[in-house]
Amino acid sequence: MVDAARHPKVEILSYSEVERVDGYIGNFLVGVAQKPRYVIADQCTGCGDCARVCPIEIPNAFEMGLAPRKAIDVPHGQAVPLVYTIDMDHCIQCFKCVTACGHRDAIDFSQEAQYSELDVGAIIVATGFESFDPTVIPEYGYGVYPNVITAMELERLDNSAGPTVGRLVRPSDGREPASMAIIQCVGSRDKRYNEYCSGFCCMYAIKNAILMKQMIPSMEISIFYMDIRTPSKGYEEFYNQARKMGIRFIHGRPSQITQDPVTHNLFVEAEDQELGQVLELETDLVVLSAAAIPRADAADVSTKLTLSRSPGGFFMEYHPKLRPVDSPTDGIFLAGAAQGPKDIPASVSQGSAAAARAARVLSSDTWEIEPIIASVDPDVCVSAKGIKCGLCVPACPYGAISCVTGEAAHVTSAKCHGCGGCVAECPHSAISQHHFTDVQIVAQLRELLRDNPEEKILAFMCHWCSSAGADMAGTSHFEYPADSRGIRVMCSARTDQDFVLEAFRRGAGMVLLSGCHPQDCHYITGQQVAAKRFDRLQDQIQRLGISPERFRIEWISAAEGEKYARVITEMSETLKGLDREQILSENRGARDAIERRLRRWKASPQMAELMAVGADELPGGEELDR
Amino acid sequence: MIRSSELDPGFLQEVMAIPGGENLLHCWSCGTCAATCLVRRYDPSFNPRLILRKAGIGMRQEVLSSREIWLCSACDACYPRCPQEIHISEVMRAIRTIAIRDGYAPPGPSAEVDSALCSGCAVCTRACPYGAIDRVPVIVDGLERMIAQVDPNTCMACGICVAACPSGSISLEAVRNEELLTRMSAGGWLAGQSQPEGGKPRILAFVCQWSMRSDAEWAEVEAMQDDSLRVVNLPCSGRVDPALVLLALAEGADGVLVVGCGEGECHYKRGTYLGRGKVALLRSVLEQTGIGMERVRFVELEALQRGALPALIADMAAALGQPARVSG
Amino acid sequence: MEKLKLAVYWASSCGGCDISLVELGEHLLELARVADIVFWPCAMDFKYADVEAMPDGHIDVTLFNGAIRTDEDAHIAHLLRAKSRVLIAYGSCATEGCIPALANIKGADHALARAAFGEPTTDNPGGTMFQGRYAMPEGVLTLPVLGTQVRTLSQVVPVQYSIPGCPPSHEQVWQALNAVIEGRLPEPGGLLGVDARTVCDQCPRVREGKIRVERFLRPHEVIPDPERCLLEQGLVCAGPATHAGCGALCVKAGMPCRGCYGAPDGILDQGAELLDAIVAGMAGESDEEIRRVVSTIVDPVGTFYRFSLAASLLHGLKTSPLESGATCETQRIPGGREGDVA
Repeated sequence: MVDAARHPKVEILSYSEVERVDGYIGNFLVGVAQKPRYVIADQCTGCGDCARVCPIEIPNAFEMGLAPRKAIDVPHGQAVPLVYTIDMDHCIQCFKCVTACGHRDAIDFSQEAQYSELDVGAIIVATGFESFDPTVIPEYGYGVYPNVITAMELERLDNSAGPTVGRLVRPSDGREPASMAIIQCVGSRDKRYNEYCSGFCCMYAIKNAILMKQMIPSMEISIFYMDIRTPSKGYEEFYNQARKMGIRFIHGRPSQITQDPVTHNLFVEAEDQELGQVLELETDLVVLSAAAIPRADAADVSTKLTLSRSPGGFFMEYHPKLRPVDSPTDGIFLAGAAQGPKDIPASVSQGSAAAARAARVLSSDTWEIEPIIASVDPDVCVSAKGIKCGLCVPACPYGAISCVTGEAAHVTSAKCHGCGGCVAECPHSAISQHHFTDVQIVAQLRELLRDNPEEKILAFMCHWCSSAGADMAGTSHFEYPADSRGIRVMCSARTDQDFVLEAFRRGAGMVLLSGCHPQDCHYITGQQVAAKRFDRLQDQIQRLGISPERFRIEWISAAEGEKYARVITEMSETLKGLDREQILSENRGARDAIERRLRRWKASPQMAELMAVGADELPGGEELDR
Repeated sequence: MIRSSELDPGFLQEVMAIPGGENLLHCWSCGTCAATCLVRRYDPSFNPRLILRKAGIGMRQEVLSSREIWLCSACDACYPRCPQEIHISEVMRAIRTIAIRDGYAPPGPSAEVDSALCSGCAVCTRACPYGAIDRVPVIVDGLERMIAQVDPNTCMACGICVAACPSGSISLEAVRNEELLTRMSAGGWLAGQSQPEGGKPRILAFVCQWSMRSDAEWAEVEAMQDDSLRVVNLPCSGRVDPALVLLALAEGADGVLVVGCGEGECHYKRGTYLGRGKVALLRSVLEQTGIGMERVRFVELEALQRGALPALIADMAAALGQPARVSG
Repeated sequence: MEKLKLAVYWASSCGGCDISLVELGEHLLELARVADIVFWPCAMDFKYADVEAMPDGHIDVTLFNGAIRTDEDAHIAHLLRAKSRVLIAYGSCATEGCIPALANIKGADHALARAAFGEPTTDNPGGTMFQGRYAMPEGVLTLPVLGTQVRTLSQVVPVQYSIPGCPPSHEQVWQALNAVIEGRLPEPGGLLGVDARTVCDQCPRVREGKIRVERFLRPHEVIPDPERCLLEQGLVCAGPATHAGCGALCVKAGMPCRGCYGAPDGILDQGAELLDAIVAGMAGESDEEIRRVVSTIVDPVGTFYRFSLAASLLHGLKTSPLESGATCETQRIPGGREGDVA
C-alpha cells in the first residue's frame, strides 16, 4: 500500500465516494466526493496524540467490535494514508484533540466535502466483500452466547496486532480456551441465505486451526464440515498437515448449539456421518466460518456504473470463462471478491488481469466497436415531441440509451453492443439497427416466402445460439426436412413481433421463434426481453385466429444441432398434417387485422413499397382460383 | 455390498411424483436433520438423512419395508434448518403413501377405540393434531352408531386423544392413566408416606419427553427425584390429564408442574398449546375455589435452552413456600 | 305378599327430586299397590320420632335426595342408614352435591355472611347473624347449623345405589323402582336409572367432527342451529362427559347439557374430563391464541363442576374430609356459651 501511495502515477483519494459516472470507454467522467476528515491531511503526521486524549470510545469495525477506537482515529496502524479522521456522529466537539495536536494544527472542524471530477479512460471495480452476520441463524446462538464468534473475530483475537495482542481468550471469562469447534458453511451453501460456496472458508478454517494448534498444542480443535474444498496448489497438502497435527475433522453439519447457563460452555450437536451417530461435543469456544456476501452498497454501485449482478449479488462478469474480469460495459473491469468470493491468490491474479485489460484501453487512441449499432431518428422519436416514452431504455442490457422527455432518445454508440432489442421495442419505428434494419429483414422475409409460403416454416434465429445451432445441424449432417427458411438476427430480442405478423400476412405455414437459453444470452438480458415479447405474441396470434400449432418458440443453443433438426422435423410433420385449405383460410382471415397493425410501417416509403405486394404474391382467393 | 442392479431408479421418480417428495434430489446428506431430530434420542435407528439417501439411490424394498419411515411425527424441527429447504416430513409422507399403496402397514402402536364405550362425541377428532381420527357408522349393541376410528397410518401415538376423551373410550399402550398413576405413586410417593426435609413442598413434575434434548440433562433431572420431587415423563404436555393433576394434589402433592415444549416446537404440532390451555383452566378453577392457583403451573423449555429445568422447579418450590398440609 | 316399605327423604334439596316421584303419574297407583310409604316428610305427615321408633333395617328401600349440608341432614342420613336395608342416593344433590355444593367454592361462612349482610335486598341494620342456638325464657331454641362443606350422601354414610340426575328422569326412575320391586337389583355400588355411554349417544344433533372452536359463547349470546352439535357451535355442552340416561332432554330443547347425570362409568372426576375435552376442541396455534380462547370460558368452576363439585377431586383440597362435617366457623359456639336472652 505504501508503494502505491508513493507511486508518482498513482493518486489515492481516500475517504471518498464515487457519486456519479457518465460517459463511455476511454471517456468516463467520474464525480467524486471526498468526505471531510476534519483533519488536514498535509499537516497530519499520524502521531496519534489526538486519539490518546479523545474521551469518546466507539466500537472499532476493523477489530470486529472486539476493541474500541476513539472518535478521532485511524482505521488501523498500517492505514495508508496515515491520516486521522473524526467520526462526527460521535464526536462531542470537546476540542481536546485540537489542544493535543498543538502546533501541528492539523484539525479543522470547518472542513467540508470536496467534489472533483475525474476524466478517466477505464475503470476497475475492486470493492471487495462483506461478512455474513450469523445472528439470523438462531440455532447457532451467535449474538446470544458470548463464546460463539465468527472467523473474522477469531482472526483479530489471534492477531498479534489485535485487541488481545494475539492471546486467544474466551469472551465470557477471558480464559484461554482448552477446546474450539469450527463450523463451516455458515450462511453459505444454504438456500435460506446464500446458495453459493464462499470458496475461502475451508482454507482459512484450516489455517486458523493450525495456527491455534501451534500456539496451544494441548488445545482440542474440531472442524465440522460438509465438504472440505482445497483445490489449489498446496491446499490439499495443507489439509493433510492439519489432520496430522491432530485437528479433528467431523463430517456432519451441526444442527444446533446450546449453552450451559453456568459455565457458558457450548454443546455442538452434529451427526458424525462416518460413524452414523449424532455427536454432542462440549467445547469452550465455537468459531463460525461465515459466508462472504456482497457489500451492502453493491446495488448502489451497480446502478452508478451500469453493472449487472449475478444471482448471488456479486457483480457480473462479461463471460464466466472467457472474459472473467470484464464487465458487460466496455471499459469497466472487475477484480477480486467484488466479482465473487475468492481467496488471495485468485484476487491478485484478477487484479493483474484487470490492470492488463485496462492498459489495453489506455494504450490505444481508438477503440473498435460493433458496426451493427442502433441509432435514433430524432424526427420520428416521439420523446422529442414532448411525449413521455422511453420504452427503448429498459430493453438495453448496457444502459446505452438515455431518454429525457422533450428530447429524442440518445444511443451512446460506444456502449451499444448491437443486440437490436431497442429496435424491436420501439412502437414508433424511431430506432433502427445498422445492417439489421426492418427493411432489410422484411425484404428477406418477402423473398423467402415468395413461393408456396403455406408449405414453409419461417425460422427467426439469433446469431450466437440458434443460428449456430442450425449450422451445427448442417455440419453434423443431421437430416431434417427442407421446409424451413431462416432469418438471422444478432439477438432474439431483435425479432420484432411485426415480423411474425408480416410472415403470416405473406402466407407462411408456420413460424418458429428461437434464441439462446436464458443463461446463455450473448447480450446478457436480451433473451429475457425476447421471451416476454414472444409470450405476449402467442396470445395475439391465437386471437387472430391462427392455430397454435403453427407458431412455436424454442430456445436452442449453439451446441444443440440435434435439437434444431428435431424441432424442424416435428414442425414439418405437423405442417404436413394440417389441412392446406385451413392454413390459407386462417391467413386470409387474419390479414385485415394484421394490415391494420402494420399500418405504421407504411409511414416509411421503403417499407410501404416492400409491403405493397403484387396480386400474385398475396395468399388467398387468387391461389384458389388457380 | 449393494449391487446397482438391486437398485430401483424408478423409486426416486415415484417419490418425487407425490406432492412433498419433489425436493428429494436436492438433498446432499449434510446430516443437519439427523442431528436435529428428537426421535433419535428414543430410537437411535431413526435417521432421516439415511432414509432420504436410501430413497434417493433407489433402495425401494428396504425403505418401504422399514420400521423407521413411520417414526417421523412431522414436528418439522428439521425443516427450518435444512440448507436445501427440503420439507423432510413431506418426503416421509410421500414415502409412506407409497408404502401404504404397496400394502405395508405401520408397526404401531396406535390409539385404539373401545366401541362399547364410545359415544361418537367427536372430541377426539378435534383433539388429534394429525386429524387421524374420524367417526364411522358401526352397528354396536343393536343400533347404528357413529363410532370413532383411528387411522393407524396417521396416528403418531402422542396420547392427546387419550386425555381428551371424556368417557375413557380411547387407549394407547404405555400411556394409559393406570400406567401414569403407577409411576406417580411408585414407592408411596403420593399419600405422603414420607415428609421432605426442611418442610420443602412436594412437587410432581409431568415432563414432556421431547422437551429436553440430551441424555445428560434427563439424567440430571431424574437424579433430583426425592421426597420433594417426582418426575413423570409424558409423550407430550398435551397428554397431561387434569384428573391426574387433581388426584396428585388430593393425594398429597403440594404442587404439580407441567413442563412442555416452546411455541412452534411441539413434537406433535400443537400439543404444547393444549397443555397450556388445560393448565390455565385448572389454575382458574383452583383460584376460584380458593385452593390456590400457584399449586399448578406450566413452564416451557425451548429447544435451544439447556439446563433450565432445575431452576424452574426451584422457582415453583419457592412460590409454594412451606405449605401446611391439608390432607392426612 | 308383603308390601315393600319405601321411604323418601329430602335433605338440602330444591324439592325437584320429590316432584320427579310425583311425575310418575299413574305409575304411583301401581306403586301404591306394591309398596307402603313409611316416611316421606315432603308429601305426608311423618315425624322423625316415627323413624327413630323403627327397628334397624325395617325400611326396605330409602330414596334419599338432597345434599348433606346441615347437622340435621347428617343426623337423619345416619338414622335412615341404620333403619334401611337398601339406601339409594337419589338425584344429583345426593349423588354428587349438585347446586348446593357450589357453596363449597367460597365456603359456608361466606354464604352465611352474604345472606345475612351482603344481599342488597336484606335489611339487617343490627348485623344479626344466623345462630343455631338461642336461649329464651321458655327454653333454648335450636336450628340446624351448617357444616364447613356440603357433602354427598356417600361421603357421610355407606350407600348401596345411586340414581343420578337433576332430577332423575321419571321414566328411568320407574324402571329403577321396578327393579327394586322385582328384586332385580344388580351388585351394590353402581348406578341405577342410567343408559350406557354418554349423552352424545342419545343426542340427535349432527356432529361434523374436526371443528375447533375459536370462541366459546354463553347460551344467551347465540341462537344455535337446531341440527348441529352445540359444542361445535361454541357452546360449552357437557354431553361428552355426562352419563347417558336423560335422553338428551336439554339438548333437544336447544340448551347445552349441563352434566347433571354425572360422570360416565369409570371416570374419576367429571369436571376434569370436561375441561380436557373442551380444551382439546379449542383452536389456537400459539400461546396467545390458545389463551385467548381459554379466556372465553366464563366461570370455570360453574361450567365444569356445576353438579359434581362435592364428588370431585377438588372436594377435600380446601377442607380435609375429617373437618368437612364440623360446624362452620360462624355457627360454632366456643366453649358452649349461651346466646343473648331477649
